Amino acid sequence: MANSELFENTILELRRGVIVLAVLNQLDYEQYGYSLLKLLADQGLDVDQGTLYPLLRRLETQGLLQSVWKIEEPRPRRYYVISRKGRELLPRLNEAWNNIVAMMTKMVKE
Amino acid sequence: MNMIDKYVAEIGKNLPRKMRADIESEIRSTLQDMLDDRSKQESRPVDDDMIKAVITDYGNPEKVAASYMPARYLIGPHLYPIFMLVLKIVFTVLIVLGVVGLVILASTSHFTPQSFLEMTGKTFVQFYTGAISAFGNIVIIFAIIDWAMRSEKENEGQETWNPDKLLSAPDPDEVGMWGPIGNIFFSIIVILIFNFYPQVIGINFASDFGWFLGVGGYVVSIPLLSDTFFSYLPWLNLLWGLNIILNLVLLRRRHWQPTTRWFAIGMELAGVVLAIMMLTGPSLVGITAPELARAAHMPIEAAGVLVTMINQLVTILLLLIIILNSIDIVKSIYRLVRKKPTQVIPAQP
Repeated sequence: MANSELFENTILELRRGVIVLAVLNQLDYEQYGYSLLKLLADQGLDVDQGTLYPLLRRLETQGLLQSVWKIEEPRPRRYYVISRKGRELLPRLNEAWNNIVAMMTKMVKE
Repeated sequence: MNMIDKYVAEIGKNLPRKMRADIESEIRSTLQDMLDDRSKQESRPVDDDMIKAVITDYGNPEKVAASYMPARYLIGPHLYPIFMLVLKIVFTVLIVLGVVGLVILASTSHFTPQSFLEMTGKTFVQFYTGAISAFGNIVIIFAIIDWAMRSEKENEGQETWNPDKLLSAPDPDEVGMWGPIGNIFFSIIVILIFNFYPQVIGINFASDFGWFLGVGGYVVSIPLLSDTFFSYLPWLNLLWGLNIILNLVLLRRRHWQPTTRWFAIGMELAGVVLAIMMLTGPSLVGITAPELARAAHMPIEAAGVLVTMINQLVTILLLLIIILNSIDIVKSIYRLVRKKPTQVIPAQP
């Protein structure tokens, strides 16, 4: 495997790990899939649809998100928002994330 | 039907029915959002080229559908090592049987290069069909076992593992993994042999000069079992089939419960009744001394001794079945009775 490919795959794995946290933090207000995709992209996290939509469903199945179809112009859209269970879990996840960042900052050599 | 509908339908084909409509609607809505966005960016109306580009970005329909589902497999990583081990054992046995059969056939026939090539070809064809059939059957059996174990695997890891368990006394109601798997294998093998390959249970003659038990008949095959035995086959099939079901349930639950215990007792009791009927009824051995003597070119006395030995062997086997099943029944009843909660009677003042 070429170095550049190895690099891309490793970065992909790293990003995959943070998408859940990014999504939960962005869904304080309801968003439909495509608007969430753009919201994440605007903040520098490019996620493809094939990853985001199944993830939204998984988080909903786990009870961390809830969704509703809204019949609105120009088309019906499914809106997602963080659930009560998700809100309760999020501060602990964020704290764990901050600890990981602090730990990694110490470990990663400049 | 436009290109988006066709694309969405293509994704839907690979999705489970119950989630299909919902996912299709969401993907359709997203594609239209993407088209609106692109149309704005490029300041031109949506056309076929734009739809093609958006669909291409969204990706291969099969991959899109696969991303919504957990990995699907017939035989999971948990069972794969034992599956490979069984395959290796079965294939080794098949190869050994093929080579032994070829050697016996070659040593007992008139040898010419042409006959040797013919024999080798036949052996290879037999090995090939046997290997394909064995492979298919093993895959089916393991796929069923994997399916039966899936609920148990899903719960795996949820219970906290405690090293104290290593020292604690074994729970008599706990069911291991390999016991039921072995029972399922045994039942399937006997069902296959007695129903589809009954000639295997016979005396097979490789030629006029040599004979051996059990390995496929090349020239003459005398069935060992009588029609009386085969009249019991529907009942035996029923018992073996119920045994498979019982063991699949045990694999899923991994614990004996009163229902499964009573079910097993009923089956063992039926087994005892059947064995007693076989023992007291007409002989299960179909081969006679004159038949054996004529086919094997052996003295009638020697054939008589051999047939008597076979009859005695069958009687011993039936007695063993009756004794072992009876012991199992007693053990199971004891475990059922022992499980009843003890009533504590408060002391009278």
